[in-house]
Amino acid sequence: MKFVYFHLMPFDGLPEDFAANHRSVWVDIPPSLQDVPRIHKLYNEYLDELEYAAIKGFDAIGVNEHHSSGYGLMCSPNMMGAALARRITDTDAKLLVLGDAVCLYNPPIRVAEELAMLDVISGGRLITGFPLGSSSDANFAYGVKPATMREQHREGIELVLRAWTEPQVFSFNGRFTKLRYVNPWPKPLQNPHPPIWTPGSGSLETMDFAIETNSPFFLLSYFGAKFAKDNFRKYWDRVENAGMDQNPYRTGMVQVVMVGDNDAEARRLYEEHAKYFFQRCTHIYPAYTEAPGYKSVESMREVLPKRGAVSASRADSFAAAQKYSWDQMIDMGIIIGGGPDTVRERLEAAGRENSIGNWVLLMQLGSMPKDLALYNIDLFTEKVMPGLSDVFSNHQHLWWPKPIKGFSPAEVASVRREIRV
Amino acid sequence: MTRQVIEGPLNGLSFVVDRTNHRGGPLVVFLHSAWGAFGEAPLGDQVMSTMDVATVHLPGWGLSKGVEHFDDISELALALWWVIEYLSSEPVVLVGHCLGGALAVEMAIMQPSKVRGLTLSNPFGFFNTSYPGADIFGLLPKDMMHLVYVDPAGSIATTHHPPPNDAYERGLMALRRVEVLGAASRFMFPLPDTNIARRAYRLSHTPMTVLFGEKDGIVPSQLASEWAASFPHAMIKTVAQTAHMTPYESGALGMAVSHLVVAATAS
Repeated sequence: MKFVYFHLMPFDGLPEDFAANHRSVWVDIPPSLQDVPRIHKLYNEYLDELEYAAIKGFDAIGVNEHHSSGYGLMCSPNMMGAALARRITDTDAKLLVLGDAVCLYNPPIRVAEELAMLDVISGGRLITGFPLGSSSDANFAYGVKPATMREQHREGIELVLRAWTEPQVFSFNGRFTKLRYVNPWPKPLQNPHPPIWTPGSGSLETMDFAIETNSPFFLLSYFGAKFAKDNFRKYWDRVENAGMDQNPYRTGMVQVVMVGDNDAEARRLYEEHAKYFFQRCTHIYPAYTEAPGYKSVESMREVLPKRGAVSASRADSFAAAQKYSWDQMIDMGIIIGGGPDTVRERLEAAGRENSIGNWVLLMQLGSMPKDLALYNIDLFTEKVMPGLSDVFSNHQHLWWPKPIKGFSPAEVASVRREIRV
Repeated sequence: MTRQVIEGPLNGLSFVVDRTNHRGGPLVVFLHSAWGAFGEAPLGDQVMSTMDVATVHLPGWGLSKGVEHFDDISELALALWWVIEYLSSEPVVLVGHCLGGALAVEMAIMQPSKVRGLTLSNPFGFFNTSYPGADIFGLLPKDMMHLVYVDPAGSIATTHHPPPNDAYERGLMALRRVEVLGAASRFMFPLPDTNIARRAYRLSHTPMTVLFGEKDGIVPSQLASEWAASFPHAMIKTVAQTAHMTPYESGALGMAVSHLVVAATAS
């Protein structure tokens, strides 16, 4: 198994009555709630945590992209990636950029350029993951037309891939982007290009896209592997139907993980921060989660309630999760938390049951302070990860950066200070 | 009333047209709102029983097919001219409500000589940051009804949107919302500004009436001043006790059409 330490970079200063008195954490969250000096500290602490995770032996560290949101302050994944790229060169960690929704960039060649720069600066450590983009971000914060954004997404990825791989200057005549000269300098260091993962929220279109492009399918869900069984079953069925192998590294999943010395300590340390996240950071006005046209009518028809059903509410929804206790979140697998043995057993079981080879772990959540996030990293890397890294070792990870023949990385001046201060 | 399906002009594109077929005047073309056509065109008995009215169901709203061919309103307007030229060789009267209003103006700007007159109700097309109107793509139906209907619990609103009996029917309503507003988003997202002002000179001789709803929360009546500035010859009225569904909440649109057709026929 591979483990990525992933960060949302949440704002930790949302008031206790946020959900009661404000419509949404995303899109139209009041600017007056911002505490910019506090955000200065948060950015630097969060970068410290990511750097620390790399030092402690995580296989990769991961950044992402959100806009107009108190849930995630990372408007630019590439900027955060750049802040980290030179700081991890004395570790083995790779850099996952699970952002850069290409339809947000006009022209999308900017994505090809900046990711190539990151790959070159980091010495060929980059892993990319191009999400479609959430509706809140893409449609409402960036004004992308929902009805055409999937087509725009596909076209943008085609442009990025061609920009990375075509040996000559070429012209690109798309429906959404027209460029006479495509010629990024530099191209990526990894040849033909960095690994590409396909994140999605479970739509069949995204699974098929991952299979069609032979890239790992990543489920972006905050509700854990238990709720995701059906999604993975559908995915693996489709892989089989496509005649492809059942390599567990074809999949990944976001999972909240909170490790304590024992189960009771985990609850004592992390409960309030988990509640902060599920009660404030995910308080989103429902109309902002899917603009009309963002999902096809056919996809929505798949999840219609049965005739006569009284309620359409789902247990794996942000609205439902606002009321969950710590015990419920543990029981439902929304959080894999507890002592090291508990966490290891549950991660292994979920991984084996669903054939999940890559875990994108959220270990700083909501209002969790830096020292606690570092403690979580310590326990996970020292007491959980060693027992799991060899699971699936009989499979080859085909979507992971490989050593580059004949390349020797530049020596980077070290400016690292003690992260634990 | 007869229903006609016209295939073309692009592969997979088809237009469903409901037509009254009464002879004796110009063809009146009705273009519906972002929420679709709720049955017969809301032009009143007098117009519907005496005039040749064609309600064109726009692709993407359920009956006509092929909305994926269109990325912006001018492309749809051009395809609609292809339909109208199929229906009539004479100049027509264009009537549009909401999105249909913006579309009717777009069509008239393209071919003013083929338009005898324009009657618009609660039309999209202008946007002013001082009175932006509600974002129809970013509101739940329950938070939008009072902006669309002057009486959100009244018979017009409940006829247009029958209350669901169970979660399944609520799901179907959500699907319908995604279908119709998803189609509208191709033309009106993120802001319903179609840059009419820059091209308004094309309609300086076109008879034109524009109606607003006094309590419209979607297309605010203050936008009347923008229309008046671009179309000084237009007759502009604000209809009391109506919201965004002015054609259904009053007889004003039918009367305006009737006057325009009489005047156009006389001239």
